[in-house]
Amino acid sequence: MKRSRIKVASYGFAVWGGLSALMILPAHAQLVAIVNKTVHISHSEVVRIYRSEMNGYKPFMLGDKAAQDDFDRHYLGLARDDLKYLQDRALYAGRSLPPKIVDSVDQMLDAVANTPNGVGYVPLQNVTEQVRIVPENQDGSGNTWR
Amino acid sequence: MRKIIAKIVLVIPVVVMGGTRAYAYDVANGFTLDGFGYQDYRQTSANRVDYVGQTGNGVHNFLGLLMVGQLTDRSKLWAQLQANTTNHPNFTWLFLDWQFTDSVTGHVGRVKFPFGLINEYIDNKALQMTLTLPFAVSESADMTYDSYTGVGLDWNTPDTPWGNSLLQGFFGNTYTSPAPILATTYPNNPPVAIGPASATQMQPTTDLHLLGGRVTWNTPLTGLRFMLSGSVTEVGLQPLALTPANYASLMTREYRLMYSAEYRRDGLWVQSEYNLHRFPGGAGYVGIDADSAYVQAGVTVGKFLPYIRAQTVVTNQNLSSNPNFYQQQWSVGSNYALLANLNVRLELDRNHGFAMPIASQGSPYYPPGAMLAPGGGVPALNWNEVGVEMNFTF
Repeated sequence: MKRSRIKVASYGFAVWGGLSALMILPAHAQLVAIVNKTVHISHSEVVRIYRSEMNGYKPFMLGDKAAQDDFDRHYLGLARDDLKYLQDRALYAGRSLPPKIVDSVDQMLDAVANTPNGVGYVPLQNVTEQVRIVPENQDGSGNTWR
Repeated sequence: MRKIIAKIVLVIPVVVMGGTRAYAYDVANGFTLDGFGYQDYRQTSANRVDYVGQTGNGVHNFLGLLMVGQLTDRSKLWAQLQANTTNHPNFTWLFLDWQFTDSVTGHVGRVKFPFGLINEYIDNKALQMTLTLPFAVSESADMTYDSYTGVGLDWNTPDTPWGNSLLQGFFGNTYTSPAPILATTYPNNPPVAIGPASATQMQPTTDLHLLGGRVTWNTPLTGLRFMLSGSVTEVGLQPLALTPANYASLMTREYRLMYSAEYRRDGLWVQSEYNLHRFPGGAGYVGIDADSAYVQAGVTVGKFLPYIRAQTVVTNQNLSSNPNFYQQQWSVGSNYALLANLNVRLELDRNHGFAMPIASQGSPYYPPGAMLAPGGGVPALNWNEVGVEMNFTF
């Protein structure tokens, strides 16, 4: 009896967790880097900003772990642990703050649109007129990395 | 031992309250707070080392708080408050930064000393691979500074096919405790002459007019970076036997140069640094001619990060065959990540020579009668150290 209650509770949490994740980010979304409309930077500069190798910008990251991992690995070229090490190193050396976490795609769009020098990432289908997409390639073509 | 366990038990709830939080607390709009700390226990088979007590063992506690206030879109106030076993709470650094352009930032105040790799986050053990610090960044041996008081400028260079760089320059003053590696004798050993018989023992008092810089090169190979740091200071010397005649201020220059390399990607982590510290001798005082190097490597295996390190230090090149002034060490250890922000470490060190115990005791500034070996006696040439540590961020 006890075991079945625990099972039911576990399923409940799993379903709730799954739904929550879906509300934040659709599965297999194509993420694109976005910037405030006043910002004109390249793909490689976005990478440097998230690696805390460049000051002067205000990066944001999604609280959703799957989206973080996807962006870190495929766009920034580093695993989460390695990226966090770079960000923490810059923080504790007094050089730059790590990205601010936002809870949803809508919050990300608002934050980037309303923050001078704001940088972030969202699924391609969620991009609005409020922000600018950073082209993936040096020549300005393409807007996703997969 | 009971006391140690009690202290650890007290710390754990603080850490667990942090849960798996990964980033700063937004305490108020534009004000963030990050905490970090560690607690360790270390024991030596012989010889006393930095912070390890009279009986050759010791427990060390450290708690730090990093506070950042966003003053304007272009300016922030940074402060690090810390407390540890031996010092009262104090601000390690406190400065103001100003973003001149997207790539140029200025600093003013008491600024974290941008020198080498590990020295930059020396207080945060959670960002380090090993339990004991490399000799090359030892404060006891006067190898680096923690901070400087003055102004600094950072410039992020544009991207090139060869990667990009961060260029940093700084100017100001820095204050250090007397450099113990000027020590000439050790109470348990025959006196060691390191200068002319007429040389007067001097201790540096204040390091002034610090001028230096660092170049960080982020190579096109993701995860690989190199650094070159250098500084020069004017040092005021004060004779140990102070008389009006010899009080006349003696100024000399002190040089430091550090080469650093790091590769970290996909679970492989390698770090290496070489530090050269020169303090030319002159009439009436003895110089410093110290070098230290280390290489350490670790590989992440699940929640474990085992590592190995080899390092060496010579605190006086003119006496490099005297164990008072050299030390070689092999270390093996492992980290285990209990939580995302709570890590435990175990480390074993095998030593040959005892330059660092000498440096950390500061003989002859240490009170007379101090013993390098636990309970007195002749220091051991070959000796071991074992340590266990818990470090955390919240």
